[in-house]
Amino acid sequence: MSTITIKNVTKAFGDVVVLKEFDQVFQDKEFITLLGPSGCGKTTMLRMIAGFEKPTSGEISIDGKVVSSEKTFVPPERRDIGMVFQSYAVWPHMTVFDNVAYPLKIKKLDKATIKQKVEWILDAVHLSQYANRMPNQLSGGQQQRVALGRALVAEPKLLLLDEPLSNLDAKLRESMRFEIKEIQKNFGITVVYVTHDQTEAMAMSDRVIVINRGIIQQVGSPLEIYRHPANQFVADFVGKINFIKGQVKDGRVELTGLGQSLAYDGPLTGQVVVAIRPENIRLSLEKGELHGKIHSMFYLGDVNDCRIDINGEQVRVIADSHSYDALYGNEDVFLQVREFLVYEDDGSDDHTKIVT
Amino acid sequence: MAKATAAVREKRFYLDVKWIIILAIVAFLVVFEVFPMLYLVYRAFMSEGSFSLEAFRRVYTYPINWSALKNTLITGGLSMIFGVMIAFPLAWLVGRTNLYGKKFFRTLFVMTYMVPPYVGAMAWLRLLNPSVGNLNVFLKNLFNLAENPFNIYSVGGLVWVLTSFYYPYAFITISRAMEKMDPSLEEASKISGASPLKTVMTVTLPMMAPSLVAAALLVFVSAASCYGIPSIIGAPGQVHTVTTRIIEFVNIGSQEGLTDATTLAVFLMVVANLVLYVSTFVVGKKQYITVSGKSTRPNIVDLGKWRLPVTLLVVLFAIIVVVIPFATVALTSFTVNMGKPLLSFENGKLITDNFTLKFWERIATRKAILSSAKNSLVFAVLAATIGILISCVMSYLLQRTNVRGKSIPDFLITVGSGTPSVVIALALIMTMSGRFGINIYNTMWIMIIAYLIKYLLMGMRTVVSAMSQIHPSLEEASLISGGSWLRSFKDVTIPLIAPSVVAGWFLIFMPCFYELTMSTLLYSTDTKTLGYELFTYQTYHSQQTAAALATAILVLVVLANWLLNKLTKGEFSI
Repeated sequence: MSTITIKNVTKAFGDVVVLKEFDQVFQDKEFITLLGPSGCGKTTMLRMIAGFEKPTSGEISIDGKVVSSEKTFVPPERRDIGMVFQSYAVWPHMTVFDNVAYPLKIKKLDKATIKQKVEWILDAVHLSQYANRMPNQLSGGQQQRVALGRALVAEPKLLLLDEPLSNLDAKLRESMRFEIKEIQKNFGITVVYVTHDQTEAMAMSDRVIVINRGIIQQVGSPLEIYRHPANQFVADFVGKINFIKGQVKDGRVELTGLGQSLAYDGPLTGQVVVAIRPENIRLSLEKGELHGKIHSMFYLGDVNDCRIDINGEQVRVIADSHSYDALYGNEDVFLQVREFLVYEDDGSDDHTKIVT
Repeated sequence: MAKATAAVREKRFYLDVKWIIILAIVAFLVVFEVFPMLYLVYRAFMSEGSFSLEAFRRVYTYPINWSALKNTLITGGLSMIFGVMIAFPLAWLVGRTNLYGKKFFRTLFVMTYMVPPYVGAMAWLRLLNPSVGNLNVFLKNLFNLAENPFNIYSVGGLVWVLTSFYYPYAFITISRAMEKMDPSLEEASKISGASPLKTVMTVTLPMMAPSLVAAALLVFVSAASCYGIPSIIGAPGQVHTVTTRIIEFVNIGSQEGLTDATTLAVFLMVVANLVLYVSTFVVGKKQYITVSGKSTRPNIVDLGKWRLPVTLLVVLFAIIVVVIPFATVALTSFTVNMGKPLLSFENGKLITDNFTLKFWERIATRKAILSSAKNSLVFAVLAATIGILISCVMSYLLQRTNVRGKSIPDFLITVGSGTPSVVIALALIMTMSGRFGINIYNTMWIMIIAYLIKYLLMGMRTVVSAMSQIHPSLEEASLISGGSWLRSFKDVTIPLIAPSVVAGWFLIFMPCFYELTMSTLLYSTDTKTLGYELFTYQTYHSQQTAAALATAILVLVVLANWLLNKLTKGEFSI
């Protein structure tokens, strides 16, 4: 059982407010990801759960027990949490075995139990044959597993991960994602994961919390935040997107710069911004809602990444890779828009604007 | 074909410039450092013209030399232990806790590093003189003691002054190591359930161990090879050390005296080089390099209710070790009769009879002092300028090229800096007075060369570390644009490392400016220096004049520090 309740938590360093009003409940065995650009406050939130930072105001409880509030503060060493740091923080003066055994030694378990548990966890993170190595003899990926093993060995109910994959290469990063997810399922623990990589967030999380400039932008399943982003920031930060200014008129939305329009029966009126994900547009030579000229095409193997020139403005389309053979530059094409989103236009061109 | 040959020739030539520079630096170091030091060893064993231990027998059977040896090891060892015991908690408090006034304390402790050690000796001499020491008398009256509690003319006194002037060496080394440590290593320990104390014992201390050992050894060697402090404090109480004995032997002037000095110097050299070897090649190899993924603020430990008491303790320490000695020296320079208080009240009236400016007038007008000051300035400027040029070129070679042999001059410069000043000066006297075709004895060059060998490393380290921060691609961009490497160095590298070059220049300049030990051995009538002048006044003529000179030097250190800070836009201070 490990439920985390975060009540109206704020954090400021001096005059700089890094986190405004964070109010969430993380359920037991849930995989929660804090997603946002660097400096958005996500790491600060994680460090407050760990106990490395004190909230400026508000309250944090783990399993109904208050660990941080105006009156009480439980230091990190008494919170029974596992944590993996971005720099791994594997102690260079201890062997792999000693690194992983450390939390158990602190708990003063007997030697035989420690040995047995460490071996079990090293097996789980595929490091059995490296037990006696020093950290400087390990690769980055292996060090990362040592850190993971050390975080899990005491069987905490809560595991915190601070951008654990950001220092690994792309292939390793992908396989580690599934391993971490697998471990979470097998151990039945609550995980709070911090990242700025939306693919990581999508691949592992039950719920994603998108944060920008210290403010929660949206909370939802990976599908919800991708398909139904709450605002332009989320739409832009999660996945790729085209933003086109427009105006709602008589059941249609006119795309101002493009001189064309799409059918729209939504609630918004007046000035709007239309957001279309590039993979939601299909190119056709026969028919479509919009039409333009092919400006450029990039063959990326799995997809064909194109820019379509519509009345002087460019729209990005991610098309099926075979379309690369069928189309050629400057050709007139139609665009079939399968799905698009409409946001109110507040007049600013800043897509990363925040909702307060 | 012709084109290919031209390319090869060009490439050869390109390498040649670096080789010539390396060879020039190596040649300089071989002639003025390696050869003299080897000759010293040779002389010690070949005193009779053939291999003989006669000189050793003679020197080491003399009880006064034995006690000097013993005193050197004891004072060096104790200063090392106390120095680290003071420096580690101070470095931790200043670097890792929410102590009040951290920044101020840091500057204060680091700045004592730049103060000539003999100033401390002068101050404590006055404070703890067994019969009239001001602090002694004060304590005696305060606690109603039968006699004065302390005697500075003792081994204990020597250890006290050495410790209070060499702990900053350890403080700087340890602080740096603490700053470099990735804070998440400690956080990982805490989240594993370890208490703060347990974290210090199992993570912080073991990770710091190599730096602690290096710091300890540095204090040991500095204290053991110090001359200024034992000569001022030890001599009156007949407490001899190896350095004071060496200089006494040299001052005898006979060949036998020189041989005896050499034999003692060899002992000091062996100890120093052994320590250097251990700290560079044994401990240095174990250094855990931990670079954090992103720059996080170091964990600041909340001292809680201890914050104020601990700060007060640090203030007290600063008062005893920094404020009182410096104030004493400054006040001495205004005192007519040192047996009386500077100012006193009689019948409610302020008596200023004991206050005078004549010593300040003296140092500002006396020709001998002024010409010594000028000498010191010229020597130090020359040494610093030549030194920083070598430093720049060396750091380029070390950081940017794969030229074979580049580590030879680096190694020699490190050895030179680790060699006690007394040994360097003695070795130069023995070899550079015409016996081997070079006679620069009695000229300013012998002093400048001695300064360079001892202090070049300070400048080089500063520039090398700055250079390692600059990405090579910046210079490669200049090379690809067609600039030669000398040109690229001048147009791209130098402007980028300018602040460190300025800092490095000062780091060589300051110790050369007030240098005492080597100057004492190498001066001639025309090349007396400020340090020598001050020392002579302190020992033979007038302590007040010496105090005025010392105060002037202190003011200069503070000014230089301020200037350096301005010149490098706050990036550096000493």
